[in-house]
Amino acid sequence: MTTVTVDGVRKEFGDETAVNGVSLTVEDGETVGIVGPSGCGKTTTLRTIAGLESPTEGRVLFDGEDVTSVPVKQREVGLLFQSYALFENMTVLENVTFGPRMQGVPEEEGRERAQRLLEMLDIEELESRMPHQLSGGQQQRVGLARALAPEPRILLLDEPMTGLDAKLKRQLRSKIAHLLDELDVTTLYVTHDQEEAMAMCDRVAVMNDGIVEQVGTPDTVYERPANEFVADFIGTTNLLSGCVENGHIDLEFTTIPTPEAYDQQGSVKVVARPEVFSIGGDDLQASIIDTFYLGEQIELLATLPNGQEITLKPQNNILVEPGEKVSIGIDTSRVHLLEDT
Amino acid sequence: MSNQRLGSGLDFGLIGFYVICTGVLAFILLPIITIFAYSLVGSFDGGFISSLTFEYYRAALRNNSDPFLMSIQIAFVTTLIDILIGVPAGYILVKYNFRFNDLLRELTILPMAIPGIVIGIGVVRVWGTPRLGIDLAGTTVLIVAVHALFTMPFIIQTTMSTLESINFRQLEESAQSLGAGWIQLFTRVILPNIYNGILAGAVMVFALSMGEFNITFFVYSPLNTTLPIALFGGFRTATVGEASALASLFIGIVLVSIVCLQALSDTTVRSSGGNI
Repeated sequence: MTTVTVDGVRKEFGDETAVNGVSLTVEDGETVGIVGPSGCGKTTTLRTIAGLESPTEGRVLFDGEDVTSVPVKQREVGLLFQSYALFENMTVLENVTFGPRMQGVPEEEGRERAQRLLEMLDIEELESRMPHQLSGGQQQRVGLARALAPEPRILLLDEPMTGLDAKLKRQLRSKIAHLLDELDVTTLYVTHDQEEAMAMCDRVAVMNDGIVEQVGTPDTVYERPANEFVADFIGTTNLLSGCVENGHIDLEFTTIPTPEAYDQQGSVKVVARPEVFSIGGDDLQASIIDTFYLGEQIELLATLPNGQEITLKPQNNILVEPGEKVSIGIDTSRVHLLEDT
Repeated sequence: MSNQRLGSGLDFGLIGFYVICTGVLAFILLPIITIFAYSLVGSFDGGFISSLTFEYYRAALRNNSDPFLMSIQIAFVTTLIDILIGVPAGYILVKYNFRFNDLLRELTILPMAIPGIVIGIGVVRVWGTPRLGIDLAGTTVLIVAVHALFTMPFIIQTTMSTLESINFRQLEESAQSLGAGWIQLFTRVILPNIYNGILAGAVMVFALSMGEFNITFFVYSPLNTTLPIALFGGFRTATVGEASALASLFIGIVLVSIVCLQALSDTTVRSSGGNI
């Protein structure tokens, strides 16, 4: 497999700058996710790696070799779109063997490879079906097998789960993660769904407005987001304004100790995930506005003394009613501070 | 609510709808039925049953075999030319975004929108005499050329809409990433997926060419009379029965074309899983 590097890529479409200087490395065998809101340039980045767009500026390197001007056909990338784009005129097996056939792999070997992939994805019995006879989840797996059959240097997945229902998504998520692990294939996974990216990927790159805001392991971008955008985009976040003085954060209505790692002074944004709060502590008072029963958890909406609304997912599932005033504790070891700029 | 209304008692809206439908259908079908009846009896002076005969069909085929074959040949060649030019043209118009693309798309509809008579007069003005050393006046080549001109929009339009319905861009990109060159891409992926659409367009073009009268009337010569021209002449010179028989045969050809077209579009819908 291959280490893929995107080096200072810019891409303009007319007056629009879709990607504005992105550098990113996907290590050999690694699965990297790109997440971000629509229009952030994540798909353009993927298409540039695939060779479907040529960058206005910057380079794409496969194992240190510049492939920026290598056409798609010779770039040896595996592609899976949201629509799967299966060839409707071919059976499942013909779809999967298309790549090997185009590369001149002997018929027999191509078929064996295809059958092995279909087996790994639990759809070996569908090999003689036509694509339109398959469900969405089956089509997606056929598309994946087709992309993997030519043994690409990098697998590029563009929103591969978006068309599927929630339950199927969860099943396929682990199946695909397992497969990618087993094949040890370098993968770039583009999605707008940060939860999906966190579950599937070794590292996650958060993009916004054509640039990469942060790259890190799922727990890094969640626990220690680099800035407000990342904090807000990844998961649910409560951003509280405060001021650090001598190891304490003054939130105006209460004071909490700073996390150990933080040694600066001055005004900060406190990134407090909903689960750092617990009901029955003594850090602050809040009044409950609304409660949402989500099955495995209860989500609460509350107002702080300064009028700000926060979202809580207390670990101790105590039932409270809207309108109630409760005292709340904060697990200060799990809050993250951003310097206020 | 509206479903309940349909089920309970009289629905005057629905009755009105059927009445209007019946009226319109009668208006459309009556001339055809009349011609069909005349083709079998020749005239309504005697008894209908006693004068039933296929003699008029025999005469019609005997006297018009030349125009009949001429029309079929012209329609066939026209269809072929349309496919060879129209399919690549539609493909290019959909695929590439170049200057004047929108203008060209509108231009392709123009021959459909301009009255046949206007095109006919124009063509005669241009090619009625030898030009640039080419003498096309009265030739079959000129008839084929005007038929191709007149029918080209249909094949271009069906190609464009079929391509757009199969999401061809992602199909192409997938095929390219799998190592397919543009020839393999076109012959193995794109063509098989738009095949039904092209065929449907081709059947339509064939029927249109068979029935084309307006322009052909200006450019034909007695040596290459087409079926519609012969039909026109027949109603003025031949017996009513023979002309009606010829007209009925003609309707038959069109009906067969339409049935083919319907069958094709059905398979298109089915093969795409109904997701057009």
